[in-house]
Amino acid sequence: MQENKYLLEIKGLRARVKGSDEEILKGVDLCVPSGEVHAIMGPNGSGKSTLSYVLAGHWNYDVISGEIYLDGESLLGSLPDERAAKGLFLAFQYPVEIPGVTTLALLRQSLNMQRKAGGKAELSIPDFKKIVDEKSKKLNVSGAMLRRPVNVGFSGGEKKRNEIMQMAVLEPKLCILDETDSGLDIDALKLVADGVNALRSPDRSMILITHYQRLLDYIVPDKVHILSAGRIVCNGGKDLALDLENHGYSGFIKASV
Amino acid sequence: MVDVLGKSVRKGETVPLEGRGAMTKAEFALRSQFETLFFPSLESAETSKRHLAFDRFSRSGLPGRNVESWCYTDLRRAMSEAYAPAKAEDALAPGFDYGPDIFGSLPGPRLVIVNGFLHRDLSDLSQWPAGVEMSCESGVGRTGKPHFESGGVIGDLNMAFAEEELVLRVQGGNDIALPLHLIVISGGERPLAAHSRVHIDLGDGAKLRVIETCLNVSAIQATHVLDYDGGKGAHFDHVRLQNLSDDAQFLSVVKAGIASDSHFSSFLFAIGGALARSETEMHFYGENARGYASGVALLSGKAFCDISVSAYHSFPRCVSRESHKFVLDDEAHGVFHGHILVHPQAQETDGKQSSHALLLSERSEMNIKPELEIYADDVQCGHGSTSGRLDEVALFYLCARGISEDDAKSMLVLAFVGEVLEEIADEDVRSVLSDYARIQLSKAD
Ligand SMILES: Nc1ncnc2c1ncn2[C@@H]1O[C@H](COP(=O)(O)OP(=O)(O)OP(=O)(O)O)[C@@H](O)[C@H]1O
Ligand SMILES: [Mg+2]
Repeated sequence: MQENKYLLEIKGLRARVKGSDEEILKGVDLCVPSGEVHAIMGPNGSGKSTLSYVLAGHWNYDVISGEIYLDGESLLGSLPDERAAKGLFLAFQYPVEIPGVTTLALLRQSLNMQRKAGGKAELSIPDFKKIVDEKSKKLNVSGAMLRRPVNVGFSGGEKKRNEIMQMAVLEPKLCILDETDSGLDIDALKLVADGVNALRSPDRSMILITHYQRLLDYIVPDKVHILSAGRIVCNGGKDLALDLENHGYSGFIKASV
Repeated sequence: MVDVLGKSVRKGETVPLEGRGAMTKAEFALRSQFETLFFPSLESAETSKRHLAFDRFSRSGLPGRNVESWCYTDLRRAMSEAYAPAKAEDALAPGFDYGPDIFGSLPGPRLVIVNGFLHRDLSDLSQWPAGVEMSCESGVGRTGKPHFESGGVIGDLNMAFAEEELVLRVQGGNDIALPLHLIVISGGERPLAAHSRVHIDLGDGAKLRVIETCLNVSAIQATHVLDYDGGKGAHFDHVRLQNLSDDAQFLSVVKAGIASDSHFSSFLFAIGGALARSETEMHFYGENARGYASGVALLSGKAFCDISVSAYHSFPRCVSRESHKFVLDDEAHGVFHGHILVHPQAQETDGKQSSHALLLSERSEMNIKPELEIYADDVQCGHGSTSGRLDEVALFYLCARGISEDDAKSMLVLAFVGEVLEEIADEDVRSVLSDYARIQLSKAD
């Protein structure tokens, strides 16, 4: 067992797309202590989404070397659903549409699997409804949306709200938000930020992947990292995002090479 | 193959070899079975109809790939031998356990047909509703409507061999609330051939639901014909669960004559079968009628299921809808033929057809053959079909939400078939079948 100071610890993570020789993650090192919110910024194609997929255990990627620990426990080799059961949640950059499966049915199954993994009994339907009602109201997700098939016909912003609502219901240990702010109008951004802030707690950590400083005005991060060409090339405080906004990536990326 | 070249053919018989090659061993056996069973009495209208049907069959023979409507379903090859027809002594013992009644939770009387004959001991008529008449007839004498005469090879074989026809009649205006359950069992102590036939006749404005379960208890070669004749404004809903084992060859036809302002629906839930062919013919006999034929096939192992649906529009303003979904695992093979024929006078026809296949394994196969034959100009007709694999992106999404890969897969497959199950109007039947689909899919893992 690792020491429990970090909720998430990534060491020298190298990964590629299955069946390809090209490395996308070329040695990522990142530690997120319990209770902290870290932002990851970086140019398009630098590997941010890949990192989030690899953390979530996507079968399309091969980890070549390195280590990932969640709460001191190695994640490598566990399946995506096992990682979710351990408390990892990925809010997708592009939430998928799943015809024929309602958000309610998905959430109920998710929550029950999580409870099963934690040795708890299934939630009764009224208890389940109560939880979902409360969280969905806060994120302005209507009952009609819950009863519709997951994300089918949802607007871009509705999809993102739906992701955060699921996150709020599942109360994960580690939240990874991949560009949740993209495509949100200002009101929705505030709503989502409130939802995320409400989840901040000493035993929960978050990774915010974003291109925009604005999100970080609402969800103030403890640290900001820059990912470029598959590596973390710069670490800093929340001001790093401001510098980036003013000067662009080029200075930071060159400086690191 | 046995090349008989007329040697075994009796005097005065035509030699049935035109344009279809030599007789196969199975065709040869069918001929001698037919002669043994039905040659002695030639006089009645019934036997002559039998003979005409067998004659037609003899001329066409077992269809193979060279026959267009059977181009993916090589019956000629699959039927390498012809099992001996079921006899009276093959009847199942009273109390025979043919497995659970999947629709057991639904009310209504049960009519059990074993190898073509109504089995009174296994049947349960205690909830028989007033307004439905039932009889067992030898009746092959029905004429006057195109669908009585059609049915192709399956219809011909059935007409030639079936000895009993179960007839259900509802007089005009009767709305029968309880569903009638038909349980069609083929097989016995040995591999055998069985031929069953049901005729359903609804008077004007009558309403009936029939829930059918077709299954086999041994290796079989069976034909099953369900003939429907509805009056004006009649309303008929048919659901069939076809649950076959991997040594069953089951050939069925549902033939519907749909009168003006009436409603006909037939839903097929098909599982298994070495060779299952299920034809549905909808013949419209008046204006403003609606016909629905839809279904789901869940196939694994080496199962083969061919669903062929035709809608014949000869009157204006009728609606036909056909939607089918196939889930194919392992080396399963699905075939869908969809045929819409719109005659020149059938203006404002609204005919739509869709078929979708989900291939869960590399080795599974799907063939789709849509045919739209349209001779009227003011119509809305179309066909849509897809054939694809499970959506990996959706699968990962579900897994990332904590759902195991197996569960996620069955959720997606259920979602895929769920859309077609929605076609079943009766909520109770729908929920029985969606539960059953869930069980079948979790069994496959
Ligand atoms: N499944 C895949 N197949 C092929 N290439 C891939 C795959 N996944 C990622 N890549 C490649 O890896 C690189 C990193 O992609 P990734 O999506 O992680 O970038 P990103 O930092 O999230 O970019 P963006 O800011 O545009 O979202 C890109 O060059 C991308 O084309
Ligand atoms: Mg990305």
